[in-house]
Amino acid sequence: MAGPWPALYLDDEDAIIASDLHIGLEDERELMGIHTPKTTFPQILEQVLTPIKHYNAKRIVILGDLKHEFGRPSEPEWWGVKKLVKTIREMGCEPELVRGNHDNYIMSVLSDLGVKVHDPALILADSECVLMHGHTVPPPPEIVRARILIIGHEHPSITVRDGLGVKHRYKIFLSGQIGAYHVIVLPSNSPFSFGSDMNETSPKHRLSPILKNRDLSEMIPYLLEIGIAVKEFPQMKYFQL
Amino acid sequence: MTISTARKEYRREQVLSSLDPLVADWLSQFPDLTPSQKYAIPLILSRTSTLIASPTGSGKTLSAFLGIISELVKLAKQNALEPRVYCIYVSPLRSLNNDIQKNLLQPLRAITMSESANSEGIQEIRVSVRTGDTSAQERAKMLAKSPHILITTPESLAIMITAPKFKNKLIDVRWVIVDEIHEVCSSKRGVHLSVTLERLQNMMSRPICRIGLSATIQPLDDVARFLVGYDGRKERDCVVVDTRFAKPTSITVSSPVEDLIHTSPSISSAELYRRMKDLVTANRTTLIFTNTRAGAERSAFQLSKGGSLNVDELSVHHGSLSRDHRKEVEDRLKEGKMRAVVTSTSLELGIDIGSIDLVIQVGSPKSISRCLQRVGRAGHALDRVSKGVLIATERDDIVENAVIAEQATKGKLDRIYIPKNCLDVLSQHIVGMAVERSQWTASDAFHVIRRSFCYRSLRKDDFLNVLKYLSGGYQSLEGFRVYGKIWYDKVEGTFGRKAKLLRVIYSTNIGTIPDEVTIKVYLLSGKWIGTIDETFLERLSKGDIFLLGGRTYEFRAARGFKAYVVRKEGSKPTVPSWFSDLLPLSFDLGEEIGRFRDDVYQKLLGGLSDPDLSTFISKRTNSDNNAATAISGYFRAQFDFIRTLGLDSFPTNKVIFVEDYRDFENRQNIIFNCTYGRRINDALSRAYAHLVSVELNTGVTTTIRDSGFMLTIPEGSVINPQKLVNILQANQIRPRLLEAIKKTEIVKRRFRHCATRALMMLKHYKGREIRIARRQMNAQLLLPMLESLKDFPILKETYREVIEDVMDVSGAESILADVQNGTRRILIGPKTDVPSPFSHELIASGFSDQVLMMDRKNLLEHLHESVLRRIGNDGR
Repeated sequence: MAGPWPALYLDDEDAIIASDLHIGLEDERELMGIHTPKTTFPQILEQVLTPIKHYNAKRIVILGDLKHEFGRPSEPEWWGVKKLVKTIREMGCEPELVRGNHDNYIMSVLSDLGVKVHDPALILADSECVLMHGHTVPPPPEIVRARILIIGHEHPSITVRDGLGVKHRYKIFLSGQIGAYHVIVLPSNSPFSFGSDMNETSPKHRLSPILKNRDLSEMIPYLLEIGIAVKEFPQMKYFQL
Repeated sequence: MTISTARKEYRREQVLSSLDPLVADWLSQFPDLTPSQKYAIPLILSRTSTLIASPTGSGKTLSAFLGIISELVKLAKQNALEPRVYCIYVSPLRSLNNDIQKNLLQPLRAITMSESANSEGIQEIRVSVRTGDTSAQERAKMLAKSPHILITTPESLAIMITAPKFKNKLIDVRWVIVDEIHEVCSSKRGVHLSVTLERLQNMMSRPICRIGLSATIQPLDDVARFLVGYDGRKERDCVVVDTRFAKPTSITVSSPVEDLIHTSPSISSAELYRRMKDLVTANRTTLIFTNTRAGAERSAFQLSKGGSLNVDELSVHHGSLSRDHRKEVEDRLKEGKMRAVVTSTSLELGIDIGSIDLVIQVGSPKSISRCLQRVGRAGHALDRVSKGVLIATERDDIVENAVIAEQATKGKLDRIYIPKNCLDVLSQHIVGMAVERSQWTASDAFHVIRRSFCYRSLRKDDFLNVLKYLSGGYQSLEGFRVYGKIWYDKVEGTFGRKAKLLRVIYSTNIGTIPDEVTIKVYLLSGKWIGTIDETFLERLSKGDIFLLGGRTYEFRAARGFKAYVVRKEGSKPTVPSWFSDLLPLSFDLGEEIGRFRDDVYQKLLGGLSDPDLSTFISKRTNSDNNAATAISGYFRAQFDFIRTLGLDSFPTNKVIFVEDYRDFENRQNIIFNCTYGRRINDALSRAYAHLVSVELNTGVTTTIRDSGFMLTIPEGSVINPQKLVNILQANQIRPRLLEAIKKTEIVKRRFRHCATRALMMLKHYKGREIRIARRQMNAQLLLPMLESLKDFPILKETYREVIEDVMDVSGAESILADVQNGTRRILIGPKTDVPSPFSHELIASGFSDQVLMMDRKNLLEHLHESVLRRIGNDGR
């Protein structure tokens, strides 16, 4: 884990992995009739840049859903994406994208910017690692010669009770064996989305086909307080409220 | 003149001769005029704005209309009535109601259809009703054939003044009547109406005569200012007709048993129902008020048992029941066919319900005014005595009832509270103004708004921040697309409509009453026990124990809009009861209870025997023998307890008694005995809890009641109460409270209400409805982000609403200021494992909320530990 941030650092690859930025989610709310002042972008920027700076990483892989698209965006709505790519490059780091389900219209803009896009997955053979967004089924591990699967998409979170019975909610990393893969699920980078409550949502309502209807009770949650702390907790089975 | 009180009561003949002969003829059929008619009719005829305050059923609606009808009849005779609205009658009640039938339509028909009227061949005076239920077809009809008197609601009026065509019917309105003004002015609905009236006035070339109709409340001067507003810097003139105590009332206090400390709850409630049954059978028609809907159902069920009452003659009336059912109950009441009707609050307001012999109030009505309003439903005609019995089974309730009865008889009332400078309501009006005309100068709009009593002290920067918010000006960075409902030109100081659909947005989202989805709660056996809020349901997990209507239940499952529970008597709730549906005790009443405590204490000190003390209480508060004995026993127990501790003071309004109590789980509980009412106690408790939480770096739970509050500190941490009391100064309450309420459930929920009122979150948009759950989720996500914006008005308003309207931060400040200047004092008792009798009911109630000022990293550690502990307890 790359410190108290919603990102991973892969030592072998000198790369930061971050998922689900959903830049511009505010626009969707506006179209729903909910006025949403645009405040999230600086926060997303900080979340992505701090780990890059800390590790002096040369590479960042965004694990899908870079921009929150809900139709063909207009010109000013590219502003955030361009600003992000520019700022990352100024730090001597090169961004890449693994394509997610929200990344349809963004392709042409990214190719204009010369950003490498992996679709549907990025396979890091040396580290036996498959990087996917998580909205599709992964390739069989024996074919890609990998044992680790890193995904986003689910926006996992957890609800914990304190001693007085009050509930607290946290974004989490989830790590553990599912079938033939050791799966790591990354929390979202969108301040606007806490995502699925892994202990209060039923298995059939999970978003990713990789997690849907799966037994996650042996997986380990790492609770994240962004910018402050990240902490390993007991296995998921102890959180069935 | 500004605000003054009517001094002159005119004689009947004088009043009659000032009216048009047709009206005078009709009125002379009555033997005499009511007091409010004798005062008010000449005032209204002289176009003086008037506030009429008198009990329900004293004919004030007719007092307001008679002068107006007279003026309109004069015009009608000269064939000079123009096709436009002369008089607007605004009522908060949507289902209009036989009151209008009786006090406007019937007299008007009688007057204009009389023989002499027919022979003169006068013009028709038209009356129409326009509410949210009025169809487009009916509205079109009103355009073609304009009503002269228009009956409407505050919301429909606000839409009407922006309606492109109908607006033209409102160019010269002469009278506006605001009915049930006491009910309206203490809520945001009233704040909204006060600005609508100023916007309406702003469209006229001459002043509108405003008439307010109020039940018995206090202070009338402020209600009058609320009604008439200001003209520039000057208060507008208004004359107050105060005939509040014209109606004789007799209130007695009763207790089902004479010892409430040692009698089991099941016996005292059995006795309660027996006593109620006796009262019902001894009277012809009885109206019973309970404070909750579930309580109404329970009482009706108990009364129906045993067969002494005919099932057809007993019914329930409350807001959860269908409109048809309620209408039927009202009709049968009016026809005199009911022996008893049990209601929560729904029969409190002005609906004419015929003749009632007795009102029973179960539990405490929590305010003197409300008590008089409810008891006033009995003996409806003015000359008949209103008889009421206040009956309760909880000790604090009985004491409250005793003091209420005493104060009501003395003619003292508690003051109402009028919210001010609400930025969400302001936002809605700015949108309305932008719809009303194409361009406004910001300073003009500011002046119109400031004419309302509720915005008298509105700050210019708050106003400009609302314009900034509405024009989409709150952005963290340049370069993104801006969404605004209005445009605002800072340089020119002008604003106007921007969004194309703004008119539709305005008229489909107008209003101030928060919408809530209520979940019905059932026992597994299928029996309905009450309702909870949808947002509260979301916080419940299987196995949670929570409070509902004073009882504890274990949550089992939810399906659709239903929740299933099992009874769990005697268990401590595991989740805070944020959703308290209880009415708060008024501060003025709380002060009086404190004084009453002091008086009784003096008698105890003087060595008065128990029987003599009972007699003293009974005489002073009109309590029956049981009630007086129960109160004297309760006070005696507290007195003996204080003596054992070696203390020389009793908890009164001047002495706040603080207990340092260790419970069975060895947790420290700091109990403050202070009867200032829930609103002040809520503010004080959270400010203290914030202090403890910061000092000890732990979470603190609060338990809040009208009679005091308690802080519970987790085992392992202890604080010296003296230190706590020394540190918290009056000027620290506000900043601490603002910190303490962040991230609480109440803020999350109130933010949704405010954002909906401010049209930040729309209920209806592009023909679709946005569900509450969806809005609530968005509210929760938006909140932390808005914190980063400076002075975002809707967030500021949410905090204001919570600390000023829900709680009473100013009241809490003045209490601590009194402590600092020595007018009140705080007495700290020794550490003990026995709480004082006055605290028992507080300890028995479930906790209300948690204040958690731990740093975020510590909280994570703390949660980790509690999870590990729980795993350990499971035997692993």
